Amino acid sequence: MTTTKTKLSAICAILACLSLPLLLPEFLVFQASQILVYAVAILGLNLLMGFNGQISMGHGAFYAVGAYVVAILVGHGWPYWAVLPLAAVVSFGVGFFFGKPASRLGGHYLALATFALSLAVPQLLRHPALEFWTGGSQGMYITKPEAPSFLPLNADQWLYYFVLLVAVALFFAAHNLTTGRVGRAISAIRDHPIAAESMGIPVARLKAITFGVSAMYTGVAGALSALVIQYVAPDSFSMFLSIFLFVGAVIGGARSIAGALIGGMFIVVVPNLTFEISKSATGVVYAIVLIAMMRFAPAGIWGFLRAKVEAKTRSPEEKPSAQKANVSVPIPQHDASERS
Amino acid sequence: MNMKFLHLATLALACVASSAVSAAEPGVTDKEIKIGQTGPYSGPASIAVALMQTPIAYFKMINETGGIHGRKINLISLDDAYSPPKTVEMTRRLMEQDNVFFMFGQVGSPAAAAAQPYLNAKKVPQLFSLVGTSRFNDPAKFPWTIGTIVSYKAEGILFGKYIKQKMPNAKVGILYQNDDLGRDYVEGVTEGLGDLAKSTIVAKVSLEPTEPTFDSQVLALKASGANALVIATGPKPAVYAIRKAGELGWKPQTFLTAGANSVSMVMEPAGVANGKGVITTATFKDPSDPRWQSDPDYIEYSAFMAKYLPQLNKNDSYAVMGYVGAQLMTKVLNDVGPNPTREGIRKAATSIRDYRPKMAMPDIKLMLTPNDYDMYKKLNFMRFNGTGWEPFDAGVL
Amino acid sequence: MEVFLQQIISGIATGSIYASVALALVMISNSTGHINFAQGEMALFSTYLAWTLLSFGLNYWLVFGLTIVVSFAFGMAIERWLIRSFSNAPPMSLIVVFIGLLLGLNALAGLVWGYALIKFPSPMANVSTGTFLISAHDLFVIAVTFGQLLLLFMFFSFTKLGLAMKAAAQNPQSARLVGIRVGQMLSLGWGMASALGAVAGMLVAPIVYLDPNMMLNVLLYAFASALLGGLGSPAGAAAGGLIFGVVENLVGTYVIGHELKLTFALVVVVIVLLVKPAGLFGKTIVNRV
Repeated sequence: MTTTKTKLSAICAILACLSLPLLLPEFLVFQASQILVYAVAILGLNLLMGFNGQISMGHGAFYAVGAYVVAILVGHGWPYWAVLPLAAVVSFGVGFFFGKPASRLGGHYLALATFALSLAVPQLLRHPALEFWTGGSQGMYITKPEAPSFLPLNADQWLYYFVLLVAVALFFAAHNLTTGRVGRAISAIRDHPIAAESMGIPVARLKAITFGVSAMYTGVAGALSALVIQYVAPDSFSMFLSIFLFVGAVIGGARSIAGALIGGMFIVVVPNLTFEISKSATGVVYAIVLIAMMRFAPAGIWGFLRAKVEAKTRSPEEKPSAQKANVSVPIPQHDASERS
Repeated sequence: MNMKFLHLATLALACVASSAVSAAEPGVTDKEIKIGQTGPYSGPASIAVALMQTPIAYFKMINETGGIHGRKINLISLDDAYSPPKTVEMTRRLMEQDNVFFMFGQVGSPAAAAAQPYLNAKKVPQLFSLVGTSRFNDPAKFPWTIGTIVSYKAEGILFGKYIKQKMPNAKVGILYQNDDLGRDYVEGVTEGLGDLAKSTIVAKVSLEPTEPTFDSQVLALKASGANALVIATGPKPAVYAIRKAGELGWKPQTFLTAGANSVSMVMEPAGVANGKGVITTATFKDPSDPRWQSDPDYIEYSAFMAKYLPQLNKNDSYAVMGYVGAQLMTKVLNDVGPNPTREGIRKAATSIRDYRPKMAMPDIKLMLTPNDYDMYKKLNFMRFNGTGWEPFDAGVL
Repeated sequence: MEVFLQQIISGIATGSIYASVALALVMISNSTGHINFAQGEMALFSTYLAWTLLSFGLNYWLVFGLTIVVSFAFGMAIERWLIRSFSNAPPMSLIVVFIGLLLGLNALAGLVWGYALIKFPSPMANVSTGTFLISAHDLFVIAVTFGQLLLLFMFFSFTKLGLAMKAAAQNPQSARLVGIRVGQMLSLGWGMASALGAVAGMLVAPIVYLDPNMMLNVLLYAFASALLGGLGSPAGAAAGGLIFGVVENLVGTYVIGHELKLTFALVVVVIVLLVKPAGLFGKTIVNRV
């Protein structure tokens, strides 16, 4: 029953997304594209952090890789749609290459090692040896893809549909991945690596592959962002990008697919809201929002909503324990059996 | 009777004309002109927040005295956290949602660069952005983009020429920030030295402004045997380098950029004794320089800051930059007349001749032509005497 | 040769800055098991507090002591009133809280004290070492860092309280069973880390100048140092700081230039971690099933 419901709501959501650009002014269509782009980036992070248990505070690096692949190749005359798969392959490669050794690091060490990666990226992009390719600190412009002439769409609407198409495909793939056999293996590594190993799961290899897939998602998002923003520069990929992606993932709900969309909205919308609240203290207000969010929804907004729904469908005397169970995220046994 | 009729007629005509304008030009009504700005209100670059606060306060002052051509100026200034994608988003919001007339004073070169193609494609003026890199002086490719800071490269060229003409045995060391700013200065100095560049530049050492200390770089420069040191960085590394050179007992002829020569914010923290003899160029009067304490410009500026921005440090050089930018903007809005159009704004801006905003150095004459968007045609050399900057005529150019 | 020597000595001086902040990070990590991303910004606040007190004309050493005491209380208060309410939250959520603290305290400092560079006084300002190689303040930093290290080592190895704190962090359940009040130990750990951070801030500020971004820059290097030496060991972290400072200078000057020295240093850290996951001087902890 739950699955048909999920399917139905997914179809409703997609229909709503499809009609958006026809109803909204250009600027909001552009903002919606941005939200989708960040959602895809966060989805990659969720696969890694929420499902596989590897913390990354350096995913801005892969975002940058994807963006620069697009900027360089489109600058050399490649069509933008042909560049996207290439950006995916390159960022998968970079992610796998980095993830292979990094997967041996645990918890805090991994968090800090990936953080180091996010610090190194702007420096590397500015390096004189790469300047011929990256445009150095000046950055590069990317011409905006126009809609095919047979469609009555402007560039923003067309780009939105293009981003939407990629996002839906990637969300669908992520959903299938996490609910399948491989997905269970990936989660088993998070919950108990040693037990997983003894059950015959190739822990090290699967961790590295998950890192690669995660980097691929975020890289594709970076590639899309280059098309949406039409400009890449080292300053676009500072360590704050990695921090905001991380924050978006956790606040949306890192252990879910849908949480990524909420995270994307958070990244785009909340800084604008905090600025409306206080011009001079926007940073302080943002910080308070972060801490308050974690106080009241430690498993992220999606986790919070799910707990609310589950608490409703359960008998009253069970309620308090259900609420608590969600706080310490692993889903209790009876919960899982109820679902299947 | 006749007179009255004529009056009424002109008034009616004016009304028709202005309403026609407001229909054609977004952001302009009979009562108001909406202008957009982006800048870092949050994040590590929020050090420059005065660049947004001062113009807002300045336009408030203008509005209190009746505005310009009867219209109030409404500057909508938004946070981009110094992140180029955010600048694009905020610029589009200002243009498409707030319907601003044009963009003014966008802060930072990566940010302004990100918004540049969009605004130029829409034929919207991007005026007086706070950027000094050469790509903002490109009327052929970006006719709608005009910067307001001295071009880094032009200043670098001047330093190069000075060294070439005045220091026959010079060995030049350059300490540069690894970004647009630093690279432009290195290019400028090299160009200014001309044929001597190869033989006189003995060391070029880069730094990242986020490094905690710059000891290693200064040591390397000292070891290169340089007797002239060009510091092509923002304020913080400059402070550090001047102090470190002093501590090392190294006394090269030091050159400092116009963006990093505040007495109270650079020279004093670096130690005034260490800074004696440093050469820089200036376009603005430094409010913390004792030389200007009884200058009419300074007195007016000081009163303005005390009345409208009492919480801000009036010695902040960003506040002066914002003040000068706001005056330029006010002049352009005055010059364009009662029926402004975007094209008219651009024309007015590129017709500025021999203009000296308050707080600009006494012999500054700003000049913008349709073919050259670098408004500073002449820079003053100054030397630090231990308490303030002393202008001197180097006879270079 | 003289240049080489100078680069090494300057690397040691800079490295001791990293070491002093790294000590505070290790302190938190040892006593609570967390990585506190907001450690630098807490130290920043302490330093601004010290500067405010100094500008009232108080004696340097009085201010030094007062700041340490207040920072200690501040650290305990943050643990008691903020961090404790997250004791059941997943680790990633706690990192977000730390990020929130970092961004919030940084913005607040700018709001309260402005962005101008402040020349923070050094007690060694009038002392001369008679050489350009190293300043009296650099020596002071090195000495204080060493002193702290010694105190920490003795505290964690020989005092009952120190051992109890370690136990509370590593295995709270068992610690509780043997009668250790885990909550108090956590508060105490935060207080001590905050006090160490305050000392680091007051040591660092005369060198790098006080402004809201002062610690943001130092913290990154302190993290790298702590990783290099081992998050679990104060001596390792201090040594990591010194090594980091020296290697960075030498590599920047002689090998690959200053553009890539940070990247290079970070690569070194990652390689070290791969060979010795607990850092150069850390003990590898074996997980039991």
